[in-house]
Amino acid sequence: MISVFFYLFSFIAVFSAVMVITVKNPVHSVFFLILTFFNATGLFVLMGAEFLAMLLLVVYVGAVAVLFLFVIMMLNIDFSSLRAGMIKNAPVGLLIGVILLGEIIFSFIGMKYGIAGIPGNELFVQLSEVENTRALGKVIYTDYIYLFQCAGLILLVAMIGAIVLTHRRRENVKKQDAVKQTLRSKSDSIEVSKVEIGKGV
Amino acid sequence: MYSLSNISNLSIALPEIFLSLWLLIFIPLGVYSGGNKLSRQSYFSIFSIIGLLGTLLILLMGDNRASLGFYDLVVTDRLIIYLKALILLAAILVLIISERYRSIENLYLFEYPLLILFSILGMLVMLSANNFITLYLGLELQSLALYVLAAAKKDSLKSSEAGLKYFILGALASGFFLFGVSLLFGITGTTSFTLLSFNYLNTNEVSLLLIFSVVLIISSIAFKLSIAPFHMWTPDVYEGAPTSITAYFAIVPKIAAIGVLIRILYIALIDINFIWLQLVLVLGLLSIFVGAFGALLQKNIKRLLAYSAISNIGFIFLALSLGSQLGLEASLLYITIYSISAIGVFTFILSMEKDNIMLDNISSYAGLSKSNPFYAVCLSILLLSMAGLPPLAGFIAKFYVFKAVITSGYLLTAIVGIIGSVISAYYYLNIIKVMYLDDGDESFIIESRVNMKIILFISSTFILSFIIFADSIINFMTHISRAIIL
Repeated sequence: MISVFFYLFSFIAVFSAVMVITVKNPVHSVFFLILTFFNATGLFVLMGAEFLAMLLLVVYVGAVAVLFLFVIMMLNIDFSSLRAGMIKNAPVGLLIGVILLGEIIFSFIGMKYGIAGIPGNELFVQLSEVENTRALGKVIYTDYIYLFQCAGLILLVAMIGAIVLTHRRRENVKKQDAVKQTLRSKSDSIEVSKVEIGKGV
Repeated sequence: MYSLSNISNLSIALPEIFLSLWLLIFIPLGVYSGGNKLSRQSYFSIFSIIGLLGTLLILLMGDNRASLGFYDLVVTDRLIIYLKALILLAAILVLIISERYRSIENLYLFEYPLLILFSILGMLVMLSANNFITLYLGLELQSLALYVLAAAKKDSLKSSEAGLKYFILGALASGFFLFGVSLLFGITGTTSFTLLSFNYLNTNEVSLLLIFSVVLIISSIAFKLSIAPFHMWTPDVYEGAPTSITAYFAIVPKIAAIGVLIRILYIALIDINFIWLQLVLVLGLLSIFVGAFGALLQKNIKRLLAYSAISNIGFIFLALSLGSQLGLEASLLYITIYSISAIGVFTFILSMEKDNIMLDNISSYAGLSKSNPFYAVCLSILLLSMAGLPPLAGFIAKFYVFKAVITSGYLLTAIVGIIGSVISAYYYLNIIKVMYLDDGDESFIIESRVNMKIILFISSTFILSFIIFADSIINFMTHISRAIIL
């Protein structure tokens, strides 16, 4: 049963990954990227890494991909000029592809000699009753609560710092002030004047 | 160990918890009560000073026995409490003396005291760290706030440059630190200081990787302390940052970083001290000389004080490089006296203002002995002390450093250090010469606030009369330094 889902998820993931780089419309490309992420999430769940799956969903789909979408829609990027360097950059891409292929081949060779031959195999975690979200939560919120709070404060400082350095109070900006609007009276906002015929105000 | 409700566990970090809660009240208060208005600035300063005083009170009321908490991530003992108290006091004084400067330079930001409080919080976390991870988080909390403070004067190109320079180089140093710590973790399997202190099973066989990681960790802390050859950023940042922030940079983070260095060298890495002894010694001597020669031709007082800080921290490194109780004592005494005299000098610089323009050039101090004798006398005392003239406090601090160095058998090192100290005396004396012998504008009267005058007076009196109660202070330092048993 699991293998059916595995092939389903991985087939769609590979298919949509190919589509990301082949479709003409950049918005469609981002949607295919999101589809890839969703299928990768499914693969993580099948492996029992439910926390990583949720993280992928929340961080990549929820934030990063939406950010991509915003960038594409908001900024007027000329995608035909981005594609122009295809031939020039092809050797670099090919090199990276060859390196990745080599890694896959090496891992197959490693598998042939069994798990004992792979360095660091003692790190393989035994399946246990505690699911990894609970285990992580225990570590973060109990053992390392002090560090967790410190990290939160660091993020707060980063946010305040960014605001301090970039926020400028601009003059001549028209703002809506609801209180001021509702407190206006008829007498000080409308002026009735007699206009003579043939003349302006 | 298994329940956080254990109150003795929480009470270790009570000052930090109080300060962070105070900060969380401060932020909405600043936003909703006109944080950028001139009239409100002094309220925010007072609010943050009250927060620091409260933290100090909680710190001093707490238990001063050595204990671990938060699953051994946090530690406290006499030495840490003393250094924290010194940091809080120095920060309060810097906040008081920077008040007037902020109104001159239009730094009407409530974030200014807010970020200072954040960096103080980072330093407190750093000092009570018993783990490299805690230390790193404290270091980042402190540094991030300091980067922003360096660039706080948004309309000044130099200030932005200072902030950017400090940020990029600081991030690089943090990277070195993390690299070193991760190597150390790979070798020993722990990042806890207490575990590290008895984790080197065979100290005779030290791998090259261990040396590499120790060097990386020490050099990143040396960067934060602006020790040569990691001092390049210091003069530019000190010059570019707003002067009140320069005062803060020159005093408060140095105390924290020295405390952290003591904890790393004397607790975590004490078993392998043969790796770092010579390294720290050479760094110390090098920065004494870089500080002495670099300052000789400086025209700007802020740049000069940057080099002065480099050479002063060099003396502390020299004391720490001994790896002995005596060296620890000497370095604690030195950092205390250095911070008091630096507060005095910066109070003087922050009150040097003419028609709402700060006077940064040494030549503008000409004739100050006739127009403003009180300021000239106070500054002369402070500078003579920094130069190491006998009856003053600076002499006693240097004397203790060299005494410790000679007792440990490094006679040649002591001689070289004394030569460096004599060279640096030149530029301190040069400022006094400008004030007393050169002719200047006699009608120039410094208008300063009373509290700044009081701070200047107290710090110079302390420096002048230090010899009277030197014995009890040195005994106190010995008592404090016994917190770390070597």
